[in-house]
Amino acid sequence: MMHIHGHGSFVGPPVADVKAIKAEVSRYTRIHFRRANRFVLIALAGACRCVQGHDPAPATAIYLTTENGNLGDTETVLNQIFHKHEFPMPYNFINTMSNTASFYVAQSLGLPGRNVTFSSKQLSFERGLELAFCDMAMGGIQSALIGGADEACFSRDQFEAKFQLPYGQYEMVEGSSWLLLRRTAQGALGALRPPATFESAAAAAAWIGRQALPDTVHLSYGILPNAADRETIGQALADAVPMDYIAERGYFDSATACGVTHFLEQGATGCLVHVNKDFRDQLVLLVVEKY
Amino acid sequence: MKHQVYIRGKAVQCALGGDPERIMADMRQGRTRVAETPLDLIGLDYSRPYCRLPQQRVDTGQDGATYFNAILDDTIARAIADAGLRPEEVRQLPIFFGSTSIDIPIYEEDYRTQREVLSRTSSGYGNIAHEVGRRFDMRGPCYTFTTACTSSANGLLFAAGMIAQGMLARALVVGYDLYSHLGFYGFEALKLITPPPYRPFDRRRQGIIMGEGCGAVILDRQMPAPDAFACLGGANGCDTFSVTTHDPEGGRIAGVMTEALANAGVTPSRIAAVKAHATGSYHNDQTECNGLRQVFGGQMPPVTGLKPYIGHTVGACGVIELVLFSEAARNGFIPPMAGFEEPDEALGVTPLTQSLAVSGGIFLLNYFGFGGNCVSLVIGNGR
Repeated sequence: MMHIHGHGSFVGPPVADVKAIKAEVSRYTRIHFRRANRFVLIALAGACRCVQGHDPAPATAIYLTTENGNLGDTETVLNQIFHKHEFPMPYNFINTMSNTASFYVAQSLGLPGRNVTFSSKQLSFERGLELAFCDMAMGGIQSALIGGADEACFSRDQFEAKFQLPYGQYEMVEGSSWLLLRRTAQGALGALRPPATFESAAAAAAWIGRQALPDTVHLSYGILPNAADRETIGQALADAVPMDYIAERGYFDSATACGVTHFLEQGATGCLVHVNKDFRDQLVLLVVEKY
Repeated sequence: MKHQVYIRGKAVQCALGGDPERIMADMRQGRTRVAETPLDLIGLDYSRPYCRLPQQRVDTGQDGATYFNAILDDTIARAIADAGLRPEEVRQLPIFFGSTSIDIPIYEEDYRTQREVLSRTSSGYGNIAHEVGRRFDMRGPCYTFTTACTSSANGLLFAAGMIAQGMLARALVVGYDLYSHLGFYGFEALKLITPPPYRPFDRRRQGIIMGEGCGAVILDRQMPAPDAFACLGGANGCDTFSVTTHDPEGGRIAGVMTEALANAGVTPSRIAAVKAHATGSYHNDQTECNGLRQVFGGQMPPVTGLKPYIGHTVGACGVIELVLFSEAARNGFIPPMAGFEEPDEALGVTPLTQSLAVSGGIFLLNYFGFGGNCVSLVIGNGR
């Protein structure tokens, strides 16, 4: 069990000029991120909101999960080489490495501990939590800042080819959502159980039946669980309150992290069961309890 | 750690090829393979060295994706065979994948005629590992690390940690970076690439020579052989000094090495040799040596580096250099720092200039990268 001590989110429709995001970040840190790009800034904005007022310990680990990372700067550098026929600008090149975002989070918050940028397609946030659980179990860390960050998807063709879902059904957003986790329950506002992985919805439903859950259960889904998955899981949680955070907040590839912080932001009590799936039909369930 | 974690199987494909015996023979002889690579895409009339794979895509007639997957799959298949995994063990394997370039080598050639290819066609950082899972029918979870030059070292660290904690029985860990124009032109833009010879820790060092390659290991709780290497511990930390360079004093680097040793439960005096990150860039080598001196003081163990043999394989170097180093040690030697001639008094560290005979021991492996990322691993075998 990891205990949730803080949460924060910076998610919204993409803006053409990143000055607005820079202004948001500058509310929380005096470091001037002159070279920071869109991806870095959206990661920073959510992380800064998350830790505001919490004073995380310097040894706090950072796990930045993302599906696509620094797409914008990678495009810029390839354009500089192949079309402008010139060397990439150094900071564009450096920013193609997506761990620059987790670096700037560490630098701005003064956190020189563990630092990882990590991906696992639609399950990036859930798998990132597994890494954090492992580190806490080993005693290597006492606290962690974990977030999901992605730029918006602007390509209808890519989205529809990837998900086999109608692009127009979703509002495309971008941003990051973060949790501040600690081993200690003292002062916590909630808790996370270790993510559980299943090869079928039936196996997931059976597992749900064996869990001791609070009276009030909220149920949410990632983008890939299909109607049959939802039917099977829904039967196992017949009294659950639906929470469609993608409809309420919009879609980006780090939506799970947004779903968790969305639940924590609501006045609702009880727990959230979040059901997600990847393209290999692996289902991962996340149980988030609110104290 | 609750469980011991062993290297059960391994394979590599690098500038010295993929045959372990030939690679070891080349390393004993100090042989390297460097190809001059032109910068003609931006109209320059000079070239820079690069440690390319012996067989290039143009030799195979394959398209970018087929070539990319062929090298990756061949390396993984050989690691599985080396480990002697049964089909049901393969099916359960989780995949830890580390890379700097991820899928860019597949797509970037299309930029000659198109724009925004990546935004329209890339399936995300996690896709390579997921596709490996699909092709090999591996049903375990996938973990993709993108932390610049420490990417696959982080894969090793976390895979070993999860096995040690009992969260996994075994794991496939892959480090893979093929040549990419983005990386080659990017490093040249930073003026980090040196003409030959490649000589990290030398007073006349002038920078790095890049390399491409793929390494794969199977980590397992079960000891496969008496002389098998075990992952004893490790650490990861972030040096927040600068996004491009670590603190020249080496304080955070020293801290990560110290944390790794403590995590492994060994004192500095038990380290038989250090595989330094040793990129050959003026500042990186200075920083690493400052860190090494803080950890080991006057009791500096033998220090070597492997990049002069195969180039700096960026995110793949974590696994590739683990494979080469452990295989050399199993064969009874620690290779010298090829190319090194003249000590730099400012570094205070003189690397091995001749092979060191060993029969087992505990070793420290360093990896550092952009974004302040630092990883140190401790491995050992008891022969």
